[in-house]
Amino acid sequence: MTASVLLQLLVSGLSVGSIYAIVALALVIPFKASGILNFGQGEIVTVGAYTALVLVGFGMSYWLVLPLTVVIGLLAGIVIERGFIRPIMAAPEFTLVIATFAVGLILKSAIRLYWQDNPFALETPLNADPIHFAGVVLNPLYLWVVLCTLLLVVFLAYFFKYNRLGKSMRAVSQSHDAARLMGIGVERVLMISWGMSAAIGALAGILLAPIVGINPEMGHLVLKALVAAVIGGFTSLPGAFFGGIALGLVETYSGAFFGSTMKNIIPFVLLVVFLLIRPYGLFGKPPVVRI
Amino acid sequence: MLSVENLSVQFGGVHALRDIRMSVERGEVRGLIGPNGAGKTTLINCISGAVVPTAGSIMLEGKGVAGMQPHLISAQGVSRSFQHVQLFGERSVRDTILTGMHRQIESGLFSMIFGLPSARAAESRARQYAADLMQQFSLTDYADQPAHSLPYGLLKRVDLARSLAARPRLLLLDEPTSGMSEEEALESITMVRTIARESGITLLVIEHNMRVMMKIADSITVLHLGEVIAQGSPSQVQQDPRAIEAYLGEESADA
Amino acid sequence: MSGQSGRAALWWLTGLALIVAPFALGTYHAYLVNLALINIILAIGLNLLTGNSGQISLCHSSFMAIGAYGFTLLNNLYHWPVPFAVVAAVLLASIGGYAVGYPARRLSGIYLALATLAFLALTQVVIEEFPDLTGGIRGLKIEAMNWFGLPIDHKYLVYFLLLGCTALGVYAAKQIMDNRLGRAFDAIRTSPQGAQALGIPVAEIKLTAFVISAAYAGLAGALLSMVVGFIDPVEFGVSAAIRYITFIVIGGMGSVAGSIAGAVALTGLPEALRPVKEYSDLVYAALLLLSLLFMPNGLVGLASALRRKP
Repeated sequence: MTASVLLQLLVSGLSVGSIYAIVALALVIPFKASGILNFGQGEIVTVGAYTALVLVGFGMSYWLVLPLTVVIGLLAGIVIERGFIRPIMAAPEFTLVIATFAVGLILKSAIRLYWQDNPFALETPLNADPIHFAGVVLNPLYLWVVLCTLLLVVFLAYFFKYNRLGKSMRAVSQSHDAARLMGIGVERVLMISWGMSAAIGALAGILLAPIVGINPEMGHLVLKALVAAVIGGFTSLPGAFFGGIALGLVETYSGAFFGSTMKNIIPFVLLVVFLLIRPYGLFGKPPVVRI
Repeated sequence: MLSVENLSVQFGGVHALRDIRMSVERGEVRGLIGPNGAGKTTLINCISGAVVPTAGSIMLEGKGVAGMQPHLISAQGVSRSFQHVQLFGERSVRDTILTGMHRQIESGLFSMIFGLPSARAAESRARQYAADLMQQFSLTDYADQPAHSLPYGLLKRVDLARSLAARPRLLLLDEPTSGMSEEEALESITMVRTIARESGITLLVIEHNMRVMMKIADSITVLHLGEVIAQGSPSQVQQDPRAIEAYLGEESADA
Repeated sequence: MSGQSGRAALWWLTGLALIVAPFALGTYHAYLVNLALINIILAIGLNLLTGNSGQISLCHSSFMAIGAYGFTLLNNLYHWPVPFAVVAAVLLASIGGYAVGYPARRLSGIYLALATLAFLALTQVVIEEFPDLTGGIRGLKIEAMNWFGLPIDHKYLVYFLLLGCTALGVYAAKQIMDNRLGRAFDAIRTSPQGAQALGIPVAEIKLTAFVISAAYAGLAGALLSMVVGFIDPVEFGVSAAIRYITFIVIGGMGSVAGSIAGAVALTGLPEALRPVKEYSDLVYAALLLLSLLFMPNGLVGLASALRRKP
């Protein structure tokens, strides 16, 4: 194991981890705001990828398609919240879990109906030759993913700390009632948090597309993002980020050292371990139980 | 048979219970009264295991149960009713009462699944006892109705019957007659006391209805702001100045 | 009293129809009946776990997989007689149920859902990563079955075995629901605190529910591989898990009748959708969503609501 190989693994681990981190963030944001875990998030990622495919098919430049996909994701999230989530918010947990699964399945089958299982590639300016740096072969796509993730994280950090809407979202995450008393439009905030979550999911989709190819089963990675969110803690945004990166690194290194079987098994073993020992993750907090 | 020593419960900065000391004899009917927020339900919760005390001990027939898991404390022979009756979905009144007998019915998984005679016999014995209880609490007419369809007063009776169904040694009742008419309350609570006397069950009863309390209690413990402020026979407690002040204080606060 | 005897007559008729079925129906319709019976077993098991004891499980199809592969491998590699292989498959699946239920007994809600999802993902990985054993994603074919060496046309044997197992499954579930275990299930679903206060060991009961439901799924899996003759791992994925949940949501959660209603109704659905097979996932998911929103008590709930209206 030379240093350059380890470095190589680091880069791929970070980029895989970045995707996990992005999707984990997309899961945690609406969970914090509304208490609902969107098991259909994977399909939103898939929708993002196919949206990019369609837009690129219109001949648009990647640099236009990227923000446009994100905006479309935002709108889609708002529509989903209004149409599907709002009516069932008060339902028992079972209904919520299964309903989000169902919505995801509807999205996936609709995509499959039109595009079948044909895989598609996404041409981006970054599908370029690898860069050689310090004896390491770097895929610019991977670097781009890591860069975008960092930018996203910085944006979110700023947004939640200084932006008024971001601060309202934090208030809503703590307590709907208290936020309402402070004059915050809770319904509007919920709508926006779902919109943001879908926008982030769509971003993950367009970032993921050139790396793994576009197909209806892309959303399968939501399982890994869920693991990342559990590791980080569902109530913590930094946790989601670190959980994703950590998972990406663990997965990549264990794949290299122990083979692909181990690589596929480890995330779920981690999931079970955390659920048993630290269900609230490294950074999460247990809910306050009123007696 | 129940001995509580130095029991304290702290939630954050709030002292729900402060250094409680109480001793109940076997077969006794002990009343627990006090203004709202005195800590009565918290005390019951400690004994039944719903709350883990911050300090102190609870001895049940010489065995320490403070902090034990609720179902293990139940296994020691403790049963309870709740302020807000806990119902089980669509289950009938009969089934609700039978659920209280879960521990008592001796039927293993295989004999149950295959309908073996041993399971059938255990179940029919339980049904017989449930039928007796329903009769004693005048619930027989409602036996097959879903419990949730009953009015509140009747539900309280179902709750009483259920908590007795487990044939406990110690029965904790949390406001068993709230929502009942005066007549119903007296009737039900007298039935509970009769059954308790017959079976040697020790009763610890939280009540706001003074008439009911005075009628059935052998002795009364008065709680106020998490502390025991008076203890004794009903007539003693009625004349205790501190108890009177605690209640009068509450009345003038309400005024 | 005519309602009672009318209903009894209906039972006798159904029973008779079921006994005559394999001889009277063509291959295709007989196959559908087989499938419906298997789905009934699946649905009953899942309903006991989710509808009654209130535990969300997304890995029901994994227990089915254990039963299916267990049976097929014992048959193919060791030529175990069919009844023994079936029993072994059920036991293996039950062990799987224990493996999931034990750590999961203190979890609930989304954490429980995630734990079961993890198990589902794990079983899929195992299926794919050990193709020498499981045939990987290509699947596994079942070889000639051993009916104690008797030269009987196994088509009828399979059917009656299936019928017997289904009848046993229905009977066992009814027994559970009418006894203290079923009452305990309902209690821990609706009021875990109340159940504990009455001495019901909640964690233990939750575990029991998992084991029992896994046994049902394992039985269904073994029988499915017998009926189809081939195991396709796609039957054990997330889509399949959602499909089985659809059985109980649409049929009615918490009752044996609901399980039967949902299983039978939805076995017919893929057939109705045959001309538009690509829509099947979409239709399932949409039905599931609509049912969750507008028919929370399922078909059974709908029926009793209609009966109550004069």
